Amino acid sequence: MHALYFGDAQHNDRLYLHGAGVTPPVCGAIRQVEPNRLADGLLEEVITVECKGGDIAALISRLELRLALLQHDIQPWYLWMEPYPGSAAVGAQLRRGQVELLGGGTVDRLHGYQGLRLRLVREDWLAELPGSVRLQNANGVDVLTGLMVFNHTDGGSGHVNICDIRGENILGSQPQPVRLILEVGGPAVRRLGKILVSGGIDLWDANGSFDHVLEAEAAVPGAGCTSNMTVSNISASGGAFQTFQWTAVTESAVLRWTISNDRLAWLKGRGLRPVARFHTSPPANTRMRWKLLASDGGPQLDQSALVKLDSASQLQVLPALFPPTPGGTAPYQSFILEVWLECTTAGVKQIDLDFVQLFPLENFAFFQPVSGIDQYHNLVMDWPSGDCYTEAETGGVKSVTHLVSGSAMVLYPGRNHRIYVLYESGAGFGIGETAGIRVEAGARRLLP
Amino acid sequence: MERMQVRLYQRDFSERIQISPALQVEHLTWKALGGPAEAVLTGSLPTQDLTSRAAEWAADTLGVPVTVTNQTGENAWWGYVERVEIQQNGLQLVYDLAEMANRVCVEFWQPEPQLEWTGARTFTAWADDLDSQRIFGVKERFFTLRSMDESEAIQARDALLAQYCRPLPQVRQAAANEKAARLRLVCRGWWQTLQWRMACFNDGYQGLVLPGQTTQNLGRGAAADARIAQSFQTTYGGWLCGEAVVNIKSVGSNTDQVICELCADASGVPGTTLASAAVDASVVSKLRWWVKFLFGTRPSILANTPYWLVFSRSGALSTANFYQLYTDAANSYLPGKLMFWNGSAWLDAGSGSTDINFYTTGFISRLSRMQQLAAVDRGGQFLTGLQVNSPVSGDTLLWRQGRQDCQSELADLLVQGDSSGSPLQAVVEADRRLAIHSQPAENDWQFTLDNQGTLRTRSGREVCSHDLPAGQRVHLANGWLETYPLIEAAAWSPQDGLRVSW
Repeated sequence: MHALYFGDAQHNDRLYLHGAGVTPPVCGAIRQVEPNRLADGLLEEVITVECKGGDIAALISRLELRLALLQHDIQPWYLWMEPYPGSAAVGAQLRRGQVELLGGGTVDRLHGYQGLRLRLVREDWLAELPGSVRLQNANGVDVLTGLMVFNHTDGGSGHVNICDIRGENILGSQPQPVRLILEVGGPAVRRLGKILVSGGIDLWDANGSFDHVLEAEAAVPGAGCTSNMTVSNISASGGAFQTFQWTAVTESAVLRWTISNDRLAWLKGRGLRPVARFHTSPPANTRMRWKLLASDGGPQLDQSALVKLDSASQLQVLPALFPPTPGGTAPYQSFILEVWLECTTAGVKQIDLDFVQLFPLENFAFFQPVSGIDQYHNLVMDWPSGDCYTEAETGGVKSVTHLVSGSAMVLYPGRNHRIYVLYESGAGFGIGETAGIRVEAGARRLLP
Repeated sequence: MERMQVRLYQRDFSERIQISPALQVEHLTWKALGGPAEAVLTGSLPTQDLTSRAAEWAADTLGVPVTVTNQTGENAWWGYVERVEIQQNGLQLVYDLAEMANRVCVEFWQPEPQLEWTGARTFTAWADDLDSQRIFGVKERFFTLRSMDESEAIQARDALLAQYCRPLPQVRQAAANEKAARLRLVCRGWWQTLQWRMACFNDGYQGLVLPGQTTQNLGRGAAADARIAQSFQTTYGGWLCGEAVVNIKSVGSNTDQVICELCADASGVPGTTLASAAVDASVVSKLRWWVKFLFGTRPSILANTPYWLVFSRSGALSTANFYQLYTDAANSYLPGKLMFWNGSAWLDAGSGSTDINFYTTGFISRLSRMQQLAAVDRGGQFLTGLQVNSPVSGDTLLWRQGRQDCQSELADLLVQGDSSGSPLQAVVEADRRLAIHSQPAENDWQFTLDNQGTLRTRSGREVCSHDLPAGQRVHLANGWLETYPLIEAAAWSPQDGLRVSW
């Protein structure tokens, strides 16, 4: 071990136990090569510290204080290691710890010597300091400072609401949760409300990618649909949306798509969280459910939960669905994805649907607005810590604008990753809006 | 294994931003009737700040909405916090909503002769604690006490309200002596809150039952009593008149039928016949007795609108063999009067101040009663609406004494099934809408229990808690049963995952 020290998340405020930076009374330390594995899955580092000269009592007091502060969630503390000269430091946040006296105890200290044993409990991985991750999409390659994404995906130039991370750029050996930054930018005055972010591995490669867009124009009417029409509109994805009308007051099948085996080949058992853009908000008291039918339209294979649509919003989070992809390898039989709607209002009801995007469920997170995020602010989702906040571009003032629910975005070393984002602003769900995405991650491994 | 996330809300169902302790799920249960039933959540108060005001936090948390979502982000369980337990340093503090009541009445026996048909037992008026109701919602309870004077009953009622209107902290010593405060929340599904209010419907009977001492002949002479008519009206409308009941006796030897027609009003006299019923003379006693006329179709009665019960006989008039009804000439029934047919016109009996002893029995459609029970001013104070997805036919009595709560009353209505006799189920959905639908048909199975005991959808996917299997039919892959049993209950715990029973 080249160096071993305590510090904050950014390596600052260091207290060296071993290496060139040690100062009296610390003379050096020996780390137990194999930490003790605890019942709760955490690891216990056992470090023997040799102290000589200087104020040993003050050192013990400092160690005890920092361990108490971290135990009471007042101030975090990290243990950092540099395995060999020039290597990046790896470390982990400490959960708890204790200091024990060795040898003759305080009698030794009278002679200017003190042996200490530190028992430090940490996560079972070690991480490098987070750094920006290289992103790419139709608007740029290897971008570190904020890659532009549109608020939809269609055939327009640069019109994608995704960005990719090449597997070769994800280092380490362990899954690593990321810090995701959504840059609202400026100068246009706007306030983002609902924000949806998702992601997943192995959704693209050199030969193609998972087509996550179901354009409404491609849907066909279901048995309960009384009328449908495709409407050209330049502010809709693909230049058009489709209207569907129905009259039943109980659940009825209004529209459907056939999900091809090409699409299914990318899914391999993963669940999906569909997200929809309605060209105009859906009628009040409308509830929606997916039904999955065999490719011949016969038996019902599965169905989703029934959810109430938000009649004040064009952006709808739809219930999760699980495509029938048994076993681990493609090909899979295509299936019919049917939209069932229920609205208790009598008479003709209508939805104007632009598209549905199939977001992977594994990294899906919903940022529900408390107030909303304005221009020249960034939404920061720090998944390693679980903190979610908004930060001003200049000055860094933090505030709570959203509540987050969902799963952490996690990168896997060597596996291509794709990130999806959609949002709604005070002006509605404008498909031409753009934002920047930045991702920071620190390589994780088990051993230093 | 599913990963569960617990979220508490404000009492008005808005998001709760303040710091709450991290809660883990100990177990969740669902039932075919009602949906989410019970959730037990545990946790600890991690920060010193929260620990120091644990008691305050517990009181604030009682009754707040709670949802549990699984790793797919779908709602798996929803309801409210009914009980909060905090244990720290050998002491346990418990707040429980189960005993609380902030709207109270007393049922007592009034020791005096009972003259009216409503019976001997009497209820006081309800007394309310509006402050408590604003915080927790309305929770009713009636107490049954001994024989007492009305003023005593009212005094008792007020004392009981004061005693029960707030959840009282219960503090006791606990075996463990831990420094960190540990929490345990017991939560109930919203279906439970239909028990919070009683199903009390005072309307439904209309008439004069105070025994009259004079008689009115029927079917004796053409100019005086060939037909007689009693009018009635109610201040409430929208109910169905299903029965007319009169005090009647047979004089001589009658072999025909007594006919009762329910008629609309036509300028103060009987008009169009809306329904009619006949009773054989053999049913009419020689002594005074109540006789019931059941209408085949139940006309809908409008509020503040006069209607008539017109009585006649099917056989020939006779001075020897006829019927007698009982009357009161003191205008005791103000909303109506007795008239008789003199052969050419309807005339007032006793100058319009005479009434017969009669009453009508009101009914209401089962669907309307379900809507009443689930309405905001009754059992549905926390619900967002009612959706009935199956045809529901039939009527039920309009009057309910209020001894049963809204949940029991609704369950009784569901047992009668849909229009084709299939049992009905009720589930409170995630957005707190009460949905009523028919039980799945015998062969309509949605899940299969495979040979490893894993519950799966028809697509082969392992069932998640948000699939809400309770109330659905299951196919047993091992062939033990030839039928597809209905899952009555489901439970989830971190140790066992999702388990179902029937």
